Amino acid sequence: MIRFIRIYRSVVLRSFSEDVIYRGNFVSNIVASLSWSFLSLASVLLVFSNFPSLNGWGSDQALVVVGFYIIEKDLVIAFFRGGLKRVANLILTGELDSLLLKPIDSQLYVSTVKVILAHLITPVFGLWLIHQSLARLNYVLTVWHLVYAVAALLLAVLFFYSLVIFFVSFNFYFLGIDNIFDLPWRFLDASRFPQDVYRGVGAPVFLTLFPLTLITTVPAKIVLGIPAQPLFISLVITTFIMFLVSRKLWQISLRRYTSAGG
Amino acid sequence: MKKYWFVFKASFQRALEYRARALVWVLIDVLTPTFLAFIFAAAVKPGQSLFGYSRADLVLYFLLFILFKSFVSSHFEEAMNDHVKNALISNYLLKPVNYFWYHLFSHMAWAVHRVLLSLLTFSVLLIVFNSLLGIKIQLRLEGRLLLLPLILFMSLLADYGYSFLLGLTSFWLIENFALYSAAGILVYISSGGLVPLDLMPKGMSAFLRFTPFPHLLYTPVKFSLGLVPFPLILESVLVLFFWILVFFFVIRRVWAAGLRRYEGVGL
Repeated sequence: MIRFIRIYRSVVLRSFSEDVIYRGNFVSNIVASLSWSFLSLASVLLVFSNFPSLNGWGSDQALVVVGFYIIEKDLVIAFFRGGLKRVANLILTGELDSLLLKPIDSQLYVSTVKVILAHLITPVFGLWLIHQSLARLNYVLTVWHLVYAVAALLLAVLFFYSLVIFFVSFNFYFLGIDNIFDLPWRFLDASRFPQDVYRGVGAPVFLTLFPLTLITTVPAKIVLGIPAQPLFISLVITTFIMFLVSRKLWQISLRRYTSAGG
Repeated sequence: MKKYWFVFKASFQRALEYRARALVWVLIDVLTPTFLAFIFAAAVKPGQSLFGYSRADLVLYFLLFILFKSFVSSHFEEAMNDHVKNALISNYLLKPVNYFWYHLFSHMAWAVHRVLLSLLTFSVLLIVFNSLLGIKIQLRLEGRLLLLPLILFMSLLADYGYSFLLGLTSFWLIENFALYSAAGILVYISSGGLVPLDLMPKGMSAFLRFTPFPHLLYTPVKFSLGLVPFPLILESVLVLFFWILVFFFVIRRVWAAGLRRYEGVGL
């Protein structure tokens, strides 16, 4: 563990050096990630401007969900996207070999090899959004709720990371589908809205989207003081299953790697 | 013209070769509007309407949006940025082809392939909404089938023109990711990707009417729903035509200026 922390420290320092060298890229990443957050915000605001309340959720409460959506999405991008995005190309060029020879777990290495520091700015915007919404609702956050929400947030990040690993693993089976990397982010779009909003469309849809919408609705309900214990337990179980499935899929998929490229 | 027909055919064959990749693109485009269709299906109760849209209209709005977007949308700016950054433009300059027309025909081939795949997902979603969720959706295209392909083709040209123009900024700016993201989001919102434009604040939709963006997807979709009267569709065709001319005129000038800056060494 200490060895990994030492390695990760050097990864962060190297990423920082790269950002200092390519300042234009750094600023560009900040603007792009803020733009995408604006899109998420606009989608929820536009829907709620036409409906004062949807299955018990008003716009201020929904903005707390958007805040968590922004935080989770950008944390996954910041800590894992830089490395995982390269996997398709490494397989295609047969360059994954050099990585497999390193004395570190391959999934851990590809996941953590680069940190995109610019994407750590946007979660601050997400936090501000949550803070503003809670202030408008006159809701005061307790320390217990904060700790509880942070636990839910970390589980959500782990769930989303596992979802990305799940899709990235398909690159071992089909060459030239590097665009599959964008798919989990589109799935995450379902969680821009509170889970209960989908309730009115019927059980098949609600149950299909249930795991995806848990990741933002659970922390949002916790900070809003809405009882969420059963949902929190669902989040723990879903994350655990998703992590195991994605881990297993990565390991099985890795066996298909021939190092011949494509 | 014959050489561009070969470009079209070759690009279509290439699109067929990368079926899995194309399918992933279709899935990427399908998900977000489908979630929005679910939300509106849940929010508007049976028998109710919202700004003249019934529950089924709103669902069909997003399904048609997905279908038409697969044909109209190009995102050529990213490819062009790559061509300029890596000096790949030189390859085209040495060939007896026009860069603009070459990629337009190539884009049209991919668009035809994408729309064929999207028809599959569109049919699946229609079945899901009709049978599983009990929302009776009926396509009322009678009388519109002749005009719709023309409008969509014009939308494709306008979107390609806008995208090409954005791509031309690569001759001056190397790091364009932020610009493309912001521009893409602007187009997505103002072409009705988040909500139909009638559901937006009044001032915003009135302002957008004279830009090309609502006419790329929002108007064709609304026209297919039978919610646009003939004079308005005529106005939309004229606005699109105007913008296509503007884009093509500006592109000629900017392309010439860009080539003067182009060094062909890559970065």
